[in-house]
Amino acid sequence: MDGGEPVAIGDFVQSLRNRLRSDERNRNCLVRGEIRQWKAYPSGHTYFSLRDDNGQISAVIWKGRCRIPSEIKEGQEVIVLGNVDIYAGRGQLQLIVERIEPIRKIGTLEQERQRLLATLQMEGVLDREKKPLPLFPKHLAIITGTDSAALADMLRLSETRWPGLRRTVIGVTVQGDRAVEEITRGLAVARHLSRKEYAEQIGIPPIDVVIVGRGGGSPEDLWAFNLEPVARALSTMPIPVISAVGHESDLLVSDVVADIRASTPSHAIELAVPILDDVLSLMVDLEDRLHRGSIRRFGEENSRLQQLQLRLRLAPSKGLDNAVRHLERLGNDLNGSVQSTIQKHKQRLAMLKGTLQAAHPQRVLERGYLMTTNQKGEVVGKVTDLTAGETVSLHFADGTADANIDNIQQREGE
Amino acid sequence: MTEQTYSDALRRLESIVAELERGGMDLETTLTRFEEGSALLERCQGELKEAEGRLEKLRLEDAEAMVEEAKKE
Repeated sequence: MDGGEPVAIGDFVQSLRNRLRSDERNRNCLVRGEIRQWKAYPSGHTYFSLRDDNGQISAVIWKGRCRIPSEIKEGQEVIVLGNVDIYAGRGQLQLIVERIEPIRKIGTLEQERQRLLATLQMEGVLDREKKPLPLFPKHLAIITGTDSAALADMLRLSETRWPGLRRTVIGVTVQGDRAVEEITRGLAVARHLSRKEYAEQIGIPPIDVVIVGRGGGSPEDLWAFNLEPVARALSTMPIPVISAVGHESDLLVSDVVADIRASTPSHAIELAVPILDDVLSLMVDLEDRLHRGSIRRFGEENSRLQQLQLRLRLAPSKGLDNAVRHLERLGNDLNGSVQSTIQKHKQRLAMLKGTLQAAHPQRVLERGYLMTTNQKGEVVGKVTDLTAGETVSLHFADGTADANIDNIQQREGE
Repeated sequence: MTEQTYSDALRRLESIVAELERGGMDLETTLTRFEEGSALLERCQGELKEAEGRLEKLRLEDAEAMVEEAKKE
């Protein structure tokens, strides 16, 4: 063998290590792989392997060396920034991790989001009747991060619009692995405190509007609002909920499930909290109109009463005049009609007299006509009343003469 | 009777006011409406007062403790 004296293995490995470490290319290596044999030791150090289909390397995270995201677990695909080293004790190649980040499979998440939306759609959750906001909240609950800028904005804006409005902030984590659970729990609190009996127990008016949300962030930061537990909690709230997540352009599952979507947290306040002065002036206006409306009617009634009173006062004299005039008129009428009746009767009588005079038998006889009576003194009107040989009296205007009847001739057809 | 909300009350009040402003009702109806309207007005104004209150900032755990408190009684 060439190469001189054999080197002790410890020195050999150490020298390898030095060569490896001195090469800049072995520092700050950015690699991608899947986590295997993840093991966190009580010492605080964490050991695992990174692998893919073509290779594998041991890796170690020294205690407190870097933040370990909560998604990191067995099987998770990660990106690691680290330095190559050799663990001399075992001659093992190692990656000393400086940073580790999970590869967020937003593609897969997006698929899950679409699946969730489809499920909710199918169940009718998205088309359910959305609860309208009250004209103003008597107790507004805000579920968001306690120290967030979004909360500060919401509190400031609501105080400007409705000074002294009752608000309860339920502080929750809005991103990371605890976010879904905490937001869901926050909604459960609001749901309970919206119940009259519970609210009364602790001496508050029931919560009647909820805003749940947070300020802007990366899609991953907002992702909790895309997940099923939050969607389910939102869809079963007994009071109106406003989803106010991120910016105008962010549309999350919570936005389509909630009763109302606000484009930003501040927008949610504008939707939920009216301007107190507007509401007050509406009330004042209504009060004014209520009084004026009724007073006008009462005024109308009053002037009608006054008019009636006036008429009543004037009525006696006016009535008497009328009565006198009426009686006079009646008298005149009576007079007139009596007069004309008498006149009519007079005329009628004269006419009757004339007729009667003209109809008297004497007048007829005066004109040369004869009246015949039989022996009994009865007037003979027809030849058939005569018998041949009978003696009748003939009455003239100036006297009578007897006559014997013979040769009676009745006209044909009589 | 179901509980009348503030908006219901306000709507009713507005319709009463409009009716009164239109006029043409008999006196008794006017009086009844006026009284109903006044009661509604008082109610609405009372509710405005109810909205007055404090700002409470609670940690989730404290809020949950509050719910437990309310449930206990």
